[in-house]
Amino acid sequence: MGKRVLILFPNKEYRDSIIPETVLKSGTVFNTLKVESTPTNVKIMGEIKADEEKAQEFMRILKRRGGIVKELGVIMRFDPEKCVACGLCVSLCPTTAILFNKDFSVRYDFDECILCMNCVNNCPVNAVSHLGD
Amino acid sequence: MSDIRTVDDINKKIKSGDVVVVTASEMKDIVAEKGPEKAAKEVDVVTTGTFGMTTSSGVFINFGHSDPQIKMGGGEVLLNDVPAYAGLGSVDAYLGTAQCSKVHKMDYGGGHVIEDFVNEKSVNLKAYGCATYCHPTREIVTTVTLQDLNQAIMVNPRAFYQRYSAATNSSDGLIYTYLGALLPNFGNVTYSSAGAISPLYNDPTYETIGIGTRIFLGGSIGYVIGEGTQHNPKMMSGSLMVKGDLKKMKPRYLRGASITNYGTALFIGGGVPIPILNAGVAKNCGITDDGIKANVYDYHIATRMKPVVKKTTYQELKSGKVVIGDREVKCSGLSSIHMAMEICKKLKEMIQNGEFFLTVPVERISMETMMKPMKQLYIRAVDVMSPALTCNSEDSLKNAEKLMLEKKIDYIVAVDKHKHLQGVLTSWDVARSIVSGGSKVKDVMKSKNIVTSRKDEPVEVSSKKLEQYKVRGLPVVDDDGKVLGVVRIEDVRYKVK
Repeated sequence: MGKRVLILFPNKEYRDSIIPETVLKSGTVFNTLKVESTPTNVKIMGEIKADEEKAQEFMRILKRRGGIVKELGVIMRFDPEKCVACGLCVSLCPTTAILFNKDFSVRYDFDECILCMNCVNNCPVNAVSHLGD
Repeated sequence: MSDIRTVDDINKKIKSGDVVVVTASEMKDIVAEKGPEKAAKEVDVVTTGTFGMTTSSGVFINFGHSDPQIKMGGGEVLLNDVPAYAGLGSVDAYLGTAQCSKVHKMDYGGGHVIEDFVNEKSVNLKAYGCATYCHPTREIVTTVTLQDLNQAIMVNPRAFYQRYSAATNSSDGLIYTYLGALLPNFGNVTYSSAGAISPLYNDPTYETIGIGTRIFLGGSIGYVIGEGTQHNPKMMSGSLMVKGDLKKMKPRYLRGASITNYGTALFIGGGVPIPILNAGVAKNCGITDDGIKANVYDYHIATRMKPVVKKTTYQELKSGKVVIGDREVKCSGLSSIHMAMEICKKLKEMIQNGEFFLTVPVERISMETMMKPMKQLYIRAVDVMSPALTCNSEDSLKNAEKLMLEKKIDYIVAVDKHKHLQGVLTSWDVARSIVSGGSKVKDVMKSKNIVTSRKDEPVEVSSKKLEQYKVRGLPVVDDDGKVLGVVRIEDVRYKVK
């Protein structure tokens, strides 16, 4: 699994080339999951796919260029007690993060999650939630 | 087929503890392996189950009289801000699961109130009535729990519904339906049934299930009280009306649900024991998922008759992948198969432990009932359309332009000599021809992907199409593709209420 990070840049520091340049310099793979741009800053959520050393280098470069980098822990929560295993989320998931077990109960694997929020928005019993950035 | 045992024989065996009970999924294997005759000899009872989302269900509540008394009947009753039907006796009400909260709208509804009751939470009661001589109180605001109520009787007008169709979405936008969110471009397929383990598939002729049948409902005991609404046994989509005592139900088998952008409902678990009276009943219980057909409909079309995208079986639906065209589409249900299997097992345990006895139906469920569409007065596309201004695609563009100017209409339909649709020509196409050239109508007209309107389509659907595809008009075609007229924005604007 990669390392989930949230990168914050003030608008005046941000250039479109920052991420590609950092990727080249540190030799990592960076998977952008979500970009949000506000009048004051740019927020990028993504996943670094590399070993620990390279990931740290990636984050160091970004910090040097004026960004704030925050490592994200588990940002989604699935409550198996609440889940009734209807399975609606299974077909809405664009990746293989949500699958049926053999006994038709539902299994979540947040390593595969790309935070599309389909499951959170559609769960009839609110068994899955996003804990925020 | 001659019966090899009666319900009384089974009940005696339950009492003595040597009854043979199997779940529906176990029975499939037994019938497949040994055949129905042998299976019938070995097995006494088969337990079936379902855990689906129902909107046609609710609870009759009696609050007990206040002092001085209030007449809620004809007034208003709100439970956690969810309105309950109060057109009953002075302190009776019916809380329906699909009723949304006045405050939280679709996020909280009757189903959630029922869940809160069963979880022994206190529920806010607001009641307003008109003051009479013997019922002078006008307003009551209090909290109640399930224990405070005299009765809380669950009556579900449509339970164990055999088949909901499967749904998909052909449009390029996300849509929200009662079968959940449907992703664009056939992004997913949803359905709602436990398939071969659900009760009514295992007794499609209603040989053992009838009025008075004791069932498992919400973790406790309930009864079948008749055929359900939309009961349509001939089309394999029967339903039952059931009742149970909410006070004895368990939270595990009752859950309030809210379907995003559709409304609220209640997940309820139910199970029906099927006494294996003869080999015929055993044979029916041997039904498997590949024997249950289901159609996948395109829910993007908002009319009652939806186009069938694919004919499939529950085996394919339950596998999680449905092939539409040349690609696999993810598929899942709204009815929990995991919980349905748990209910089968739970009911099996209850019978084995001597906590649950079987009953002989007092009366049989009708096999003749049909389901009719609503009798309705609606404006159809043919009622509002204006006559089409037509030309032939081989006509010269000059003539068509002249026609437009003369009639002051900027929408011409090109048809062949049998009046079949060839294309449409708008003033925009004419303007474009100045640059692109072309001397004939066919050179500039739009001839592909023309949005049309069926002749008996409700005008609301036509106007939705006009808005969605941003077109100026819709040629109205009959079943053979003949052009009858045009529905334009003007027609819809002035003639629709």
